[in-house]
Parts: sequence; C-alpha cells; structure tokens
Amino acid sequence: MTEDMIGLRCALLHRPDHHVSIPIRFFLLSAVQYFQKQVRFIITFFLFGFPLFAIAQIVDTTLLPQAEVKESRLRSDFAGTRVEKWNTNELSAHATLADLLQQESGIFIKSYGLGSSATVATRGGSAGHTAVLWNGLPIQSPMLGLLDFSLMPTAFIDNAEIQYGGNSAAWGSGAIGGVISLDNQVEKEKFSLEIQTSAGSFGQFDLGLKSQYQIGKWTGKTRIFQKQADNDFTYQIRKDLPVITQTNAAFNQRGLLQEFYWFPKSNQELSIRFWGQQTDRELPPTAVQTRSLASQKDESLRGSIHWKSVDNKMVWQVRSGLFRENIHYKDPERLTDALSYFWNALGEVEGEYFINKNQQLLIGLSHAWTFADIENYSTPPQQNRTALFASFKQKIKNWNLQINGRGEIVDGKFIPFIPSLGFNGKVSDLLIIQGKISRNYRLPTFNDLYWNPGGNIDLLPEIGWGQEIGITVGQESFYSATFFNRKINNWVYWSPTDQGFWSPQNLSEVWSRGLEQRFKWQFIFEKSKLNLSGGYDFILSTNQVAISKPSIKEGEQLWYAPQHSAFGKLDLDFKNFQINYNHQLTGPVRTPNFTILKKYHIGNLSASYVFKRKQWESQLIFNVKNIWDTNYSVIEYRPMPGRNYQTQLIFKI
Amino acid sequence: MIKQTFTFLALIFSIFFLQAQTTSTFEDFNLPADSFLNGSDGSGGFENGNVFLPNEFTDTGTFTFWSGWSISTATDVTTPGFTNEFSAITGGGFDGSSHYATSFISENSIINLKGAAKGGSVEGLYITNATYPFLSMKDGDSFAKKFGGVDGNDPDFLLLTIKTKLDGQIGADSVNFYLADFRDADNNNDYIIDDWTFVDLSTLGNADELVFTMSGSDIGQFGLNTPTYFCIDNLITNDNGPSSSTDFTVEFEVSVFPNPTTDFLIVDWSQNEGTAQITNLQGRILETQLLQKGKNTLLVGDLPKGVHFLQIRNEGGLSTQKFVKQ
Repeated sequence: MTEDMIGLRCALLHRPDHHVSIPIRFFLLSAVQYFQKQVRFIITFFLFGFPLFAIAQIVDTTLLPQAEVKESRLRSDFAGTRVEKWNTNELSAHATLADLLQQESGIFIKSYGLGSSATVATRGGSAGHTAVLWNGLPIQSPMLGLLDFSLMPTAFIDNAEIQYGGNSAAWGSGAIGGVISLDNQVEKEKFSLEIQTSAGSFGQFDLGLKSQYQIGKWTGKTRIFQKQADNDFTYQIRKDLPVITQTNAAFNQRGLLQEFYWFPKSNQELSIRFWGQQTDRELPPTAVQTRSLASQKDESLRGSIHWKSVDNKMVWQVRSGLFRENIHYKDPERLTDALSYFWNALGEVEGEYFINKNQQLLIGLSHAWTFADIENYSTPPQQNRTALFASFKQKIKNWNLQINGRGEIVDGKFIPFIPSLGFNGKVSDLLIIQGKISRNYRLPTFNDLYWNPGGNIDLLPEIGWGQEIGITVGQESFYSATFFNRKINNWVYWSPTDQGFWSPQNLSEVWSRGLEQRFKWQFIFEKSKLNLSGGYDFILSTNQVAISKPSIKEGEQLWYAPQHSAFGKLDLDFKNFQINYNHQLTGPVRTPNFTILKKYHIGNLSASYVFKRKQWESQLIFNVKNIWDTNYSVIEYRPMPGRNYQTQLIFKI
Repeated sequence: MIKQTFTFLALIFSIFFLQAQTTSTFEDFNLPADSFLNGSDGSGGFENGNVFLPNEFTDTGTFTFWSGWSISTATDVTTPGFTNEFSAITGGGFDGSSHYATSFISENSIINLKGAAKGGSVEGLYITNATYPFLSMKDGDSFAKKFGGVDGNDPDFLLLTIKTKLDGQIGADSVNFYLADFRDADNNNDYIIDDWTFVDLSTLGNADELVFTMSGSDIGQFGLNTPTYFCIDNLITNDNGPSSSTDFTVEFEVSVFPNPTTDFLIVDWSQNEGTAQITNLQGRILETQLLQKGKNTLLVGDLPKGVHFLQIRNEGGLSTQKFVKQ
C-alpha cells in the first residue's frame, strides 16, 4: 500500500460520468436549485463582503505604485530547471488545479472521479514526490505527504508554475519529481471587482467573487466562492452492459481567501493572508460496489504573514504560516466516524545578496513544527524540523551556474546533506541548453511513522540523485526536449505483516527516467492569434528490487505510472472571440491488481466571447468537456464522466 | 435370540465408538449474546473439546489487534465492514446455537488437536462465511470487488484450503471448501456460502494440527483484497488416537442412495445380517434398524434436515457414511 493508499484507507474517494444533451437545462435547473439552497451563502456574502466594498474607493482604477516589489527567484528559478507557468487568466479557464494540470501539463493526475480526490505524479514519482508551495510555504498534509488537488480552486491562485525535477536543496522534503508553486499577488488596480458564475452538467453550479480595494494604507483583496455539484452522471463500463447512474457523489465547497497588503515604503511589502475552506463530499461506490453511504468533510485554515524588503543589493524575506486541516470521514453503514487533523507552523527567513551583477548569494533558515492527531496514532505526534539552506549563482557571459545546498535536522536527527548543481546558457539566440544534478529526499509521513498498528518509527527518508539535461530551440515559438534520470532509494511500501496488519518498510529502489518534449508555435496575423502547443512524455519508472510483499518483480513499472502521455492545445483568438481545444492521451497503466487500464484520449473544447465596455467587461464561456465522449477511468473501477457541458459568465469592473 | 444379542452388542459397540468422538461446540464459553473473546485476556487461544484454537493479540495502547481465532456470539448479519469482524453471516452458531469461532487468517490459521484427539483423524466441521467478507463479496467495498464484477460474469471465488500437520510435517492431501464460487458459466450457480456447511475432513488422515489457508480471485500485489475471515462450529474429532479409528473402518461393499434424500435411503450390501444406525453430528442415535442381505429401505422422512451419519456394522467390521437429509 502506497502512502496515498493509506490516505485513502482513512479518507476515501469517488468517481464517474454522464452525458447531457441540453446544457441549458442544467443551467436553469441548477440556477433554481442554487437560489433555493444557497440563501445562507448570499446573506453571508452581503454581511461580510458589502462593508468591504463600502469602504473601498469604488471604481478607482488608479495603479498601485507599490506593485514594483519583486520576488526573489533564486530559490524557485534554479538554473537548469524547466518551468511551466500559468497566469490568472489561464487559470480561470479551469475549475480546479487538478483540471489545469491534467489538461495542460505532463503531470499525471490520479483522479478518483468527478469531485473526488486527485493526487499528482510528476516524472514517475509517487503522490508525495511533488512539493506544493503556497506563496513559498509547503502545504502538503504531513499525515499523507500529499495534497488533494481537487480541493484547490484556481480562483484562489494568481500564478501557478511547475518546476520540473528535484529541488530539495531549496524546498526540502518532497521536491523530488517537481515543485508546484502557487502564488497570490496584488493587482495593479486600486479597485477591481470580478464576479463569476457557472453552471453545467450533473448539477454543477459555482458562484465566485473577487475584489481588490483600498482601506487606508492597506490594500485588501477578498475572494469568496461557493460551488456544488450532484455528480450524478451516468456511465457504461461496456456497451453490452446497462447504463449506471452515479450515486452518493454530491459535492459542496465554499471558501474565503482574504489578503491584506501594506507597502510602508516603495521597496517593502507586508502581506497577510487567510484562507479558509470547507468541502463536503459524498464518496461514491466503485463500479464493483453496490452502494456507498460514506462521506467526507475537508476543512482547511491557512494563515500566513510575509514581509519583503528589496533594495539594490539585498532582498530580505520573512515568511510564516500556520495551517490547520481536518478530515472527517463518515460511513454510517460501516459504523465508522473518524476525525483526523494536523497543525503545521512554519517560519523562515532568507536573505539574498547581489554581490555584483554576475553573482548572487542566498542564505535562509527555516523551522517547522507539526502536530497531528487521529484515532490511529498511539499518542498525537509532533515533529520539529530545522533547515539551513544556501544558494550561489554565478553568471559567466550567457551562462548561469548555480549551486544549492541544504542541511536539515528532523527531531534531532540529521538528514544527509542535500546539494544540487544547475546550469543554463544561450548557445545562440535560438538555442538554450540547461541541466542539473540534484540530491533529493522525502521524509516519511506521519502515517508512515505513527500509524497504529504498523507505523515504523525507524523508517529512513526516501533519498536519491537526479540528473537532467535539456535543450530549447526557438523563443516565442519553440521546441524543447529534456532527458531526466533519477534513482530513489529507501522507497517506502506498506505491506501486510505476519501479524496481519500493515506496516511500511524501506523496501525498494525506484529508477525513473524519461524524455519530455514540448513545443509551441505561435502565429499572429492582424487581429488574429493562433497558438499551437503540446508535449509528449515517455517515462519509465521501475522498481529495481524484487519484493515478495507487495509482489513486485525487478524492473516492473510502477502502478498508475503511464509510460506514454501527450497533450496538445490549440488557441485561436480573433478580436473578442476565442476558441480553445485541448487533447490528452494517456497511455496504458498497470494497477496493483495485476490488470492494465487501457489508453484513452480526452478532448475538451471551449469557446468564449468578451464584451468590453468603458467601465466594465464581461466574458461568456462555453465548455464541452470530454467532447469525444470517451469511456475511461484513471483509477480502476472508478469511471469518469462522458461528454459534459459548462457555461460560465464572468463580470469585471 | 442371536439377532437380539448381536443387536445389543452392536449398540454397546457403537456407543463406545460414538463416545470416541468429541464435538467442539464452543458453547462452554458461556458468553452473553453479541459478544466475543479476542484474546485480550492474554490467554493465547481457546480450548474447547479436544482442540485448541490459537490467538495472537496485540495491544498497542490505543489499538488492539488480533489474528488466529476468536470466540463469538455476534449476531449482526447486516453491518458491512471491519467493525463487524466477529459475526457469522448465519447470525449464530450451528443448529441455532449461540457460540462459534471466527478466524482471521493472516498467513494461515491453525487448530491444535489435544488429548485423545492428538494424532488422530478429524471427522469434519461446519463452516460458514463471516459477515464482513460475505457482504464485501456480495456488495463490494472501497478495497475489494463485488464478486462477479461489473457484469456478474467474473469467475470470482474465495477458497478455504484445509490441510493437516502430523509430527511437524504438512500432509499431502487437502480439502478445498469454496466460501464463494462464481466460476460457473451459468451465473445462476454462483453462490456465497450463507449457512453452516459440513466439511468432511476424514479423508485427510491423522493429524496434530489442522492448517487453514485462504486464496481467491480478487487478488493484487498486496495479496487478497477480500477480507480473510471465516467461521467454524461443531468441530468433530476422533479421540482414539492414530490407530483406533482404523480398527473400525473395515469397509464393506455397500451402496447407499439417494444422497441427498428427503424420505428414504436404500442400503444395498452383500453381507448377511447387520445393523444400520443413524446418528447426528453430535453422536446422538436417531434411528437403528437391522439389515438383511440385499436392498434395505431406511425411512428418514422424520429426521431433521442436515448432515447425518449412517453406520453399518456386523461382526466383520464397520462402515460409516455420511448423508444429507433435505
């Protein structure tokens, strides 16, 4: 049992699909249901939100001078790292981060179904091998070592990026396959207001609001959303079998992200953020399960304070965060009612010194305290981690060379020194070469260490070296190819013991290697713009040690790790009209049950039109998801929806 | 007179023989309804009749875990999942009794034969599914499939294999009992055991231990996904040691039919006079009848439904056969 499977054992998941021929029917039905059911939300919104707008200087579009404060990039822009980025507009085309990554990146999303959990696997790694940062602070669950991306609304993120490959020297545990960085930022306008609503198949209805405003010297930014779905889609495992309507799959989520920015000087920024979110979701049965009455409530509270000071020679940053998450799982049929939660307090300070125009040095210190509790822990465990990290970058003509290093103590025990070395450089205006070598690790999760019975306090961190080298040809239109190679030792597997319960051990060595190719072609003609982009990944990720429990042969590909995956995207802009089509191919994957899930193609089509006026603009978007009505599942026995529809309306001031 | 004398001797003989069997019913534990013993008292197992059922119990402070055997009077036949791990799908023990034993197989489960049963043969025992695996196989859960799969045609099965161990050596023979069997092409023949079913172990020969292992079709790289629980009751041991039973098992040429039956049995044998005796699994004599050479009819319409023994004997020896009254 992998660490995310352990998560599933105490959490649980969902899935499948349905086809709707008349999307407007869903829009209207959902609208009626929405206004019937969500009166409380609307009242809350006006009670909470209206005073903020009253304070705000309405329709003042003056630009903020403070927005010039720039973020240091020495940690996140490690030389030799391939990076993919999405801005606010690109993010808004997707409901959740899971949808974005699935459709527009090479990351494999292990989705258990519509509205159900979704974890990531980057470059053939496990779910815990991708670090996730919210404004520079890690937000994975220390209990599971991962993050459920289906719970991450894109509306609460202004910029997202993937840094491929290992970077544990900069970001610590889990940054093995990649780092997903999610940032918030203040907008240039003093006042802005955006309201969006969408409705779609399977009773899906969303309402969201985002506004930035001034309160004295402070800039406030408030986002609030509510989304719901019945997820009662139909699916048909095979054409000779009856159509089944998904049951017990409803989803209801609400959240608030409140930010305050203060710029005491033009080179200083203080930001305070509070992110509260609650998700109620039913956990549907698998395709080989008669019914399910299980449900789960996920609650998260995240607060953070960042201070940043920038001058010609020095950038200081102080970050602190306090995160709390609850998972409350219930299955009345099985008389199960389990609450788990954790607290995570983090603090770090870093200073980046610009020695001269060719040299930069960064030194930082971080500390994290984590506490977690669940019935299955003997005593609620705590963990203290302290890390010292440093980075040095040398520029030599058109080449950058960077060295990172990290030393970390976890509960008094030293983690082996974690170094990395990267470079990039221009051979010509049209050819860039980059590469890196990095040592990376993942600490055992709290479940690995303390689960009762079976937790293994003697587990060692998963640790290993990764190398990669890549080229990029072109600029706006480009082709890139990156070859990577990585071995991770002490790979943790859960397996049954002689006493009958499960226990994790450092059992295996996993060798991941592959070739990632990307291309983008851009064509601009008068008022039209055509973008064609895509990628193809070939990744082998194999166990190098034969194991009896679980039964794994030497050289066997990991479960749910496709060797082949590809995606393509076509964007056509003509004046205020835009059409997007993206297509994904996921190759066959092995499951832990000795079965193979077939490859599948998924296509999504989106059309939008922007109405622009002097004081406001609005955008109407129409989405057809899984347009080819593919019958597929990402996880065995958890069918996904067929063709479905969504209409979205955005109004901006 | 001779016949009467022979009949009397045969009765004495048969009573002696029948007393040489012990049935472990687990009723002696005198548990209240809906309760269980899972080894939390540190006993390491449960002795009943001439058998010992080992138990391994772990207490980690906040969590207890057991494997091997438990003694149960649990009656819950509707609650799925791990929280209902002690219940038998029958809602009680064999033949309306309250006590039975539930096993959780990790690697395997064993039963030690004790006292007079040690080294002897085992007649058999009743087996049924525990509620937890029964409902898991019937309806599926988050980790195990509904048997038959999405279309009902998957050839799923859950198999309990019983072997003996004598002087530390595993016996070559085994008895297979399907707790669920969906392998037949005709789905109407698919079944999950939901009543107490007698499993004959007499063919396995002498034993110090019985060894139970489980296998199945819903298997992955971590082993069986189906919960590996089962329940037993009324385990019948022969108490005469390794050689005693062979003294009485001189086989006649005799045929008994129909089997199963509802109203009568035909006993066709080539011997001269003899005695036929019908007993239940607890050894109680239900019917006795003299036999003549050729075909004899035994009326069994008044017997309770279930498995019975038919013992046929004369001065030349004894033959025991099992039949099912429907």
